[in-house]
Amino acid sequence: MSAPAASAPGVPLPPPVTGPLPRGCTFAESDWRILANFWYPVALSRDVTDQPVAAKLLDQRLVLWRTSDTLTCANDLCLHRGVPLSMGSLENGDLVCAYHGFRYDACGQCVKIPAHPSAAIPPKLRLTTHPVREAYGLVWTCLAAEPAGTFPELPEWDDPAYQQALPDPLDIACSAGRQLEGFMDVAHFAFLHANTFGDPNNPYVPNYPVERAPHGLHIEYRSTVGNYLRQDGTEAPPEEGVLRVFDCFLPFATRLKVHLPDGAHLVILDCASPVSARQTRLFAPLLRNYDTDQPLEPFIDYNVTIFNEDRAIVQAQYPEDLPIDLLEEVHIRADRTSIAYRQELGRLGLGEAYTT
Amino acid sequence: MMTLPRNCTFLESDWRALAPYWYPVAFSREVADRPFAATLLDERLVIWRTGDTLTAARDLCLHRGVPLSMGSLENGDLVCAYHGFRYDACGQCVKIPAHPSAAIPPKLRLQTYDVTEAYGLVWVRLVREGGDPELPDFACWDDPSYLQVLPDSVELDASAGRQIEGFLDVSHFAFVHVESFGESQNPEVPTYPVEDTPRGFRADYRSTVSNYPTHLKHLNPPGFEWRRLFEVFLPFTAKLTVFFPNDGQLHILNAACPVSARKARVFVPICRNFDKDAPLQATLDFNHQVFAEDKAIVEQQYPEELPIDLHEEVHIRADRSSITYRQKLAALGLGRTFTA
Repeated sequence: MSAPAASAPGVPLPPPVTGPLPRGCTFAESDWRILANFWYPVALSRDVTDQPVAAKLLDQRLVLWRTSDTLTCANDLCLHRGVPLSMGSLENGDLVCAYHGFRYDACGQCVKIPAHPSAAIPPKLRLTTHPVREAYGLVWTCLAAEPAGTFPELPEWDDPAYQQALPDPLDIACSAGRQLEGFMDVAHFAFLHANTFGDPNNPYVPNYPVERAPHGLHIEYRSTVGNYLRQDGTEAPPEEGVLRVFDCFLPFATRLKVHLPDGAHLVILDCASPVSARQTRLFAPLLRNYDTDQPLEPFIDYNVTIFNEDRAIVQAQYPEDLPIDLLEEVHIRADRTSIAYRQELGRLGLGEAYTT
Repeated sequence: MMTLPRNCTFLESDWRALAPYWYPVAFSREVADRPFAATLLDERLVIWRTGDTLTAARDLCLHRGVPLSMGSLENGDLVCAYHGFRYDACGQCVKIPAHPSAAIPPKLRLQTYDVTEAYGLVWVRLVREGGDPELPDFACWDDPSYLQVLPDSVELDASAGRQIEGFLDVSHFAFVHVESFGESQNPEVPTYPVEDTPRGFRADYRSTVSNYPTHLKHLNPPGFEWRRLFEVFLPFTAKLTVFFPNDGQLHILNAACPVSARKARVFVPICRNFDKDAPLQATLDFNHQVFAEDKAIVEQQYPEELPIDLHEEVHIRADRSSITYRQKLAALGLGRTFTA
């Protein structure tokens, strides 16, 4: 099995992130220092309103809060007596600790110590904050001061021809790599998804090209497997087949665009947010440019059903960490994507702890 | 040499000493029309039946790390739940549905293990060299003059060695088993002989503690001497024969499967040549009660691993069985790392 066909340079190699690792870090240190360079979603925008929200990314506990025009992401720890600030509240745009009422502003600076209202507050009483972006209905952050990689692209989100849908996040007890690889896998439809869109009588996987791209990987897979509920009787795959275009934004996000008959498009951005080495929170904005006058609920339910079919398998896979060393598992021609994916993760420097 | 299982909880030297013996891993009835998952010495196994063949293999599809026990059986093949890879009764991959006409490399073959059935149980041996190539002996299972009973298994958060030793122990009846058959006024343990056998040892224990349940003690003939013959098949199986009045014999095979260093699944086939028409439920309930009484103690013992070094615990005369048991386990090579 060879390297990705095309020779785009791929994602530039980021420098290792320095500084202390999170408490109880479940990643190999070398893996963590690489993964911390990238953007990941940690919450739905709609869930961060008038209360601080707790999240976890790469074992780092985070608190998110919104003031009138700012959204802040900081380490979830009051510097005074070790209480998670996500237990606190918001008052007049400040984050207030539940224990002694220390107040922090949108920059993370402590601005009030109620026990000593007139004492000076040292500037070092400032939370560690992280960059924040909101996009596609999600709150994103990065644990490095200078994020690396390509921010995942989802142009359809802002295209009025598309209807937006945002399922609740799905917690999966597996590594992010195992989840994302499963999302890009094209050889399991007939088995795992026989009750949704897969066809048990059509397991064959035609050849398909895999290309390296500046953001990661670009894959175009054409087959005769449709994408509709089989039970509804509407499925009649066109003779030219259905094209699935996967764009993987390394390390843990992939956009899938399914080209259905008559110009119908389904778009899914699968973001496997790495909570810890063996825990993933899946965010998956969905878009469609057909049936846009139909209610969203069945559309969301159908896709969540499919994600749950995958969840049952990826939670059982072992070794739990995605084997970066290609010799650890057996590969078939249909695995060109996952081979390339493992190679690209290896090129970023992941899996060093395994292979050396 | 076989590589140790992932996340092995045994010391390597202990694991290598234990691997070449037969252990029960399932009831035969559990392995029917679906693949069955079991763990032996930390090795995850999938067991399946095709026609008259029984196969035990490592529970891992070689392709994408999915346990094959999540799969199904179709036309005699084991089918992985994820991509439908099919494996035959030898563990050889025979079909890759994504590429039906591509050649399948011979190395796409599961690691399989020796497997056999006896006494209503499926037995597996992970390593063929060394150890004991024979199953523990329980001939009464196939003897029509006996009634055969197969109670539910007992799952313990304890090492198999602690469990077996508890089964051999004769000085706890008056304390742990007061509710079932022990006699609180009769704690004294007469001296008993212990003899080596080719596959372990035997202890021939005679006392006045009857084997009748507490509510049936009145059946005990006055002055009857109760003989309990223990035969140990190293490392983790023991057969107990209780000699009842009127030439009645009760045989209990206590076969402990060492799931991990601190987890055991105990199978207990029972045979008796009396009361063959009596309802079984009373026997099952009594057996369950006795094992539950032992479980409550054995799960609390520490250190959790049976101390092979005799200096670690104190011994009394009644402990001849357990002293011998620990010595024999040491001779198999167990506890090397402890005592070194």
